[in-house]
Amino acid sequence: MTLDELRAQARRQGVEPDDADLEGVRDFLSVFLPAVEQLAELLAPESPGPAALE
Amino acid sequence: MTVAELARRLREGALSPLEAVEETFARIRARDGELNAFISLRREEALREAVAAERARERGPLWGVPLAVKDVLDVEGSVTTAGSRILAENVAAADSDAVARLRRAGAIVVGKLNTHEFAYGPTTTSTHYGRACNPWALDRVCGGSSGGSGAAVAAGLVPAALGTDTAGSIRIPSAYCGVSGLRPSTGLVSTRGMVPLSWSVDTVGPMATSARDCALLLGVLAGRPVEASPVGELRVGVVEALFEGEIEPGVAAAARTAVEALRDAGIRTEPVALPHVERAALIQQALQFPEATSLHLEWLRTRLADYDADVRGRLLAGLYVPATAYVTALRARGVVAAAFRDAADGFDCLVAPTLPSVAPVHGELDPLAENLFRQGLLRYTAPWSLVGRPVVSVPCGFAGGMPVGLSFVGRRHGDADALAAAARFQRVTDWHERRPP
Repeated sequence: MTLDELRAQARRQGVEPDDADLEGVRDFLSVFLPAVEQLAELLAPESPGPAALE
Repeated sequence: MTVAELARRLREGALSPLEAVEETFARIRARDGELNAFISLRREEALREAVAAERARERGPLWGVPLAVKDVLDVEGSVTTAGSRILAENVAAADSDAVARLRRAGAIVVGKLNTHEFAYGPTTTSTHYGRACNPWALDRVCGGSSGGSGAAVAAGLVPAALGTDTAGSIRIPSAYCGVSGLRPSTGLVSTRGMVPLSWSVDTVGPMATSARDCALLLGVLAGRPVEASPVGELRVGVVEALFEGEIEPGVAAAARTAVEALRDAGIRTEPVALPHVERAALIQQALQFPEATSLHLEWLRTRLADYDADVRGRLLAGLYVPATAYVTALRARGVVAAAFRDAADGFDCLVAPTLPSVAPVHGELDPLAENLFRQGLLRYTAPWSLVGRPVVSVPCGFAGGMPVGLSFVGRRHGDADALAAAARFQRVTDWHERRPP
C-alpha cells in the first residue's frame, strides 16, 4: 500500500496520522499482512468457525 | 520475605499491619528513586487502612500484607493512568475485581506500578512516567508491560504484586527481573476494572518471589484455594523447538541445566514437538492488533499525539488488519489449540525458556531493532497466550549476570499442575532466592 492509500484508509476511520507514522506502519504491514494471508493454509474447509476457548 | 512468611508473622503478632506498611514505604523511599517502579503511592490511604486492619475482626489469608498493583488495575479513589498521559486524571470509582479480592483477603495496596503505555509493549519505558529500571542492572530494562511489578518485587519493595499479561506482560518482567510470575488460564481471574488491551487474551495474575506465593495469591484472585503440591509423579514435556534457533546461547544453556534439575528432582521429562508453535505469534497479533485498535479508536481520533511513538505505531497498524484476517486468526487459534492438546496429551505441563534473551540495555534498541526484539519475545510468550494456557515463569539461572526464566505451561485450567511443577523445581534449586545487589 502507498502512503496515500494508508492515509485515505485512516481518514475513513477518522484518524489523521502523519507520514512518519505511516511509513513505519507500511513497513510493518508489508511483512505482516502477507504472513496473515498464509494462515489460511492452516484451515481445512471443514475447520470450525470462530469459537471461544474451551 | 515471602507473602506466606509475612502473613504468618502478621497473624502471630510478630509484626503489626501498620509496621509492615511503614517498613514497605521506607523501602520504597530508599530505592524507588533509581528504579521508578511506582507511578503513584497510596501512602495516607494505606496507613489508614493498616490502622483499621488492626481493629478488624475478620482476618483473611493476606491480612495486613502490603502489596502493589500494576497501574492498569483500578483501585477506588486512585488514579489509573495505564502509563498514559491520556488517563492522567482517571480516578477510579471502584476497585477492579482483582484488587477487591486482594483487599477482601486483608491485603493493603500501597501503590500503583509502572507499566508500558497501555500495557502495549515489552520494556516499560514510557516518556510519560519515565522508564523503570532493572534492579539487577539499572542500565537495563526490566521488561514489560508489567515492568514496575517485576522491578518492585525483585528489589524487595513489596513481597508480591499484580501484573497483567496479554502476550507476555507478566512473564517478560518476571524473567528479566528474576521473579516468579503467573499468567493464569485465560478467564480464570476476572479482568473487570482493568484497562483492557485485547479482550480475548487479557489476564490478571500475581508476581512474587516463589511459585508457592503465586499459588497463594491465585487462590485469592480466583476465589478458591490453589494447591501447588503435586500429587503423584509429574510428567513434563520439553518444548525442544524453543531451546533452539534465535536464542542467546547463555539463556539456552541455563534453561537446559534447569531441565536437568527437574530430572534430578524426580520429574519425568520427555521432548515434545508442538505443531504450529512458530506461527502462534502471528496468529496472536492478528487477534490483538484489531482488538487493541478497536479499544483505542476514539483516542486515536482525538488524542493521537499523546501516545508514545511505538504504541501509536502498533495501534495505527491495527486500522489495516481486515476483518477476514481477524476471523482467519480466530479459526487458526482453534486449530492450534487442538494441535497443542493432541501433542501435549498425557503431560502434566510443558517447559520452555520464558524468553530468548536477557534484559537489554536501555536505549540499545532503535525502532527497527525494537520491533525485531518484540517479535523474538513473542515467539516464546505468544503460543501460550493464544491458546489460553496458564504459564508460570520462574528464575532458572543467569546469563552474563542477568536472570533467566523457565516457563512451566499447564493445560487449560491446569494452573495448579503448572504451579506444582514450578514449586517442585524451586525445592531443588535456589535461583528464586537470589536477590539483586
